[in-house]
Amino acid sequence: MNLPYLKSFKFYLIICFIFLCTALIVYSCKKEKSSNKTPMVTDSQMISLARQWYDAKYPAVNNGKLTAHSTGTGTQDWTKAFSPYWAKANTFVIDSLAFIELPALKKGDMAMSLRSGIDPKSFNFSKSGSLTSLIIVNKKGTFYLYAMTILADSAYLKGDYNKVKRNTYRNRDGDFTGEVFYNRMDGSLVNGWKYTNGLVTGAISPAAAGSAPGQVTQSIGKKHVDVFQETDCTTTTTTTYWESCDYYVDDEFYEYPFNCSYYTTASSVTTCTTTTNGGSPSAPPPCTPPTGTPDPTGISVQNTKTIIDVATTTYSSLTGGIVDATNNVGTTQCPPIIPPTDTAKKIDPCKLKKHLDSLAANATVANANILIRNKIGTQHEYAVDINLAAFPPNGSYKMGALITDFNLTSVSSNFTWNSTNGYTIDISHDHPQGNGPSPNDVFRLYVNSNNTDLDNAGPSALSYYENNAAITTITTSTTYVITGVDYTTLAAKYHQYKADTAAFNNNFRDLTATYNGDWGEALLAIFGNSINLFESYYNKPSFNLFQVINGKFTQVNCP
Amino acid sequence: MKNITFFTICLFFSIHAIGQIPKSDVVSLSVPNGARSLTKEQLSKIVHNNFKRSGVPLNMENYYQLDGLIISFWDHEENVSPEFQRSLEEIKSGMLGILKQNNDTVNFSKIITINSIQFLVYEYQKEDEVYLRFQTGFKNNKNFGGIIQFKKPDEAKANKALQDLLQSIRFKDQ
Repeated sequence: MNLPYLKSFKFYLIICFIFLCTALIVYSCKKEKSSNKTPMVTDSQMISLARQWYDAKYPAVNNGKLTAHSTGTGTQDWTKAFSPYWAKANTFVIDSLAFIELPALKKGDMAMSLRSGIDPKSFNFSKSGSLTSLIIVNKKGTFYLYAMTILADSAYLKGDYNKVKRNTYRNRDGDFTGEVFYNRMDGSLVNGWKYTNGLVTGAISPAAAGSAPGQVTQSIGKKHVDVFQETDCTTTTTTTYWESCDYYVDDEFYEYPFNCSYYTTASSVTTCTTTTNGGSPSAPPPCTPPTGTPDPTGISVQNTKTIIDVATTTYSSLTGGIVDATNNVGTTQCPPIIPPTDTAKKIDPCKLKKHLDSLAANATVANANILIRNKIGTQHEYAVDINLAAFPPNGSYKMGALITDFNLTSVSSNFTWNSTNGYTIDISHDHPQGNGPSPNDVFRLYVNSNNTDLDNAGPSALSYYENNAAITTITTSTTYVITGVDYTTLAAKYHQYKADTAAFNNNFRDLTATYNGDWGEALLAIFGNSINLFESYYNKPSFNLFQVINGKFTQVNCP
Repeated sequence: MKNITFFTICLFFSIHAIGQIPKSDVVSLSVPNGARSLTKEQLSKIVHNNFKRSGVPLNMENYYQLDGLIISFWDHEENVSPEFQRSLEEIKSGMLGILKQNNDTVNFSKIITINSIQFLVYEYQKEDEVYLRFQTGFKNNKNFGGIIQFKKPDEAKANKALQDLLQSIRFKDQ
């Protein structure tokens, strides 16, 4: 049967099928292409994985709970100041690395500024032109967390302080002028970029040790016979203004602050700008080698001039963003990095306990502690320095003079690091009222580490001091010994303490009361394992080590 | 219909009563008459609106309001050798040392015995905000403590509330 209409229908059906298949193929190719090129796809699975990682890595902050007053968190622990606003996560891919950009929920406030000397209590955070977000990078399944702080120039803002919000990790306003800083969550600077009218014009990196603010260095080199490069570097101080507040556990978005305190931290940064053949300024790669790594650029310092043998490595174009040599993130912009050799050795606290046990039996040390114990009844604090007789130590000690300020709650000391008076390795003092060591006692460790004579004695002396120095506190019932573990954390907490001593001490008091009078637990709640705490009950020959283990105050059973 | 109304009313009061029951593994106690249980969010707002500072810990379960008083209490456990579990006398002296270091105005500190249980009670203040704290000694590595925070004019009410609270406390068999 001849059915022309059916033949025609089949024909149209085939045409339609072919068209649909073609459309499907074209669409799928287009989709794949677009995901490669503009990967602005919110990947909920990746966000979920990142959140799982974050919750596991930062358990104390993931549920929005502050288990203690926040003053003790430390300026360098940014995870306690910022938490990710997961609901507003934005994912993208750069150089095959998955990125998640999240607004930072702030417990209090924080702003970076190039202006120092402003009273942090009167600092206007809303007009700082500073905006901090969190950046999570997923590299082969491993996550890295950074804080990105955009600091807009007033010439760009022109009084519109909301304008800074137009800038993100990937996109910057065409006329954006200012700086972008990337920090690790311990507060250390990874790198940064200086922008002028939306273009990278400078590379920011942590200042080398010893660089003075305002120092200008120049490097001149020839990469090829016809290319002349000049790099100018300037070291400046960036001030970070902090508002630290307490919040209750259910205050998920930190809307009801109280007990706010204000302080500043400062960091030195070096900004380098390269001019090639007298052209427009650009930025050299901000490839900061990990600590202890030989500098791949071979910088040698001659007063304020730096002569750089320009590396022969060719750099890909600078795109801005994070350049973290440690985690190998964004380092396609860098020359190869020599892996770090970590020579730092941490002393096992249980071995230190044995050392303290034997030290307590040393006649000089024992006599010093007896002398102090006998002064408790005076209701004045007394102190005596216990000094190494020689350095490097030869096993003999000598006692410094007995000191008192005739005060119930404080005493000065006479730290020395010289051959005449000896090398102070312990300061023994009493607390007549029976309370254990205070934050101020802990900070003596850090303050004395900055003694000029010790500093001049070189890194091995400083390393010895940091590993062995102690503060002994004696009460009628107990002898407490504190030693330092992480002096970087101690330094950060000391700056916080100096910025608002009353708030720091109030926090210690409240924690002690909350732990029903256990000042050791309160001390470790503040300092964590950046210190070792040893306690020996009166007339007991052996010290006991106390640490924070799995978030709990624990008496460690040393072998 | 009457049954449903009755059931609903019972359910409402049961939930309300459960919310009022103080939580402690260490002691049994009753909150002072008229005290109403607070959620952490309610507490947060009250502290924010009425006080400059808070001595109330942030991560506890028991929060109550009685007029101008905020009452909170908690269990505390220490897995340390008994020699490091200090007596109330030692804690009293040490806390006074810390308060003096802090330049807090100490109103009083004393150890009292109620129903054969010893309590350390001490009170200090900053400006017109007063912190009345109490705690028991250790029993099986655990002790119990708390705070009443208030403004100076409410001091008499606070002392009455503390008296009622301490009178009701009994150590649980552990």
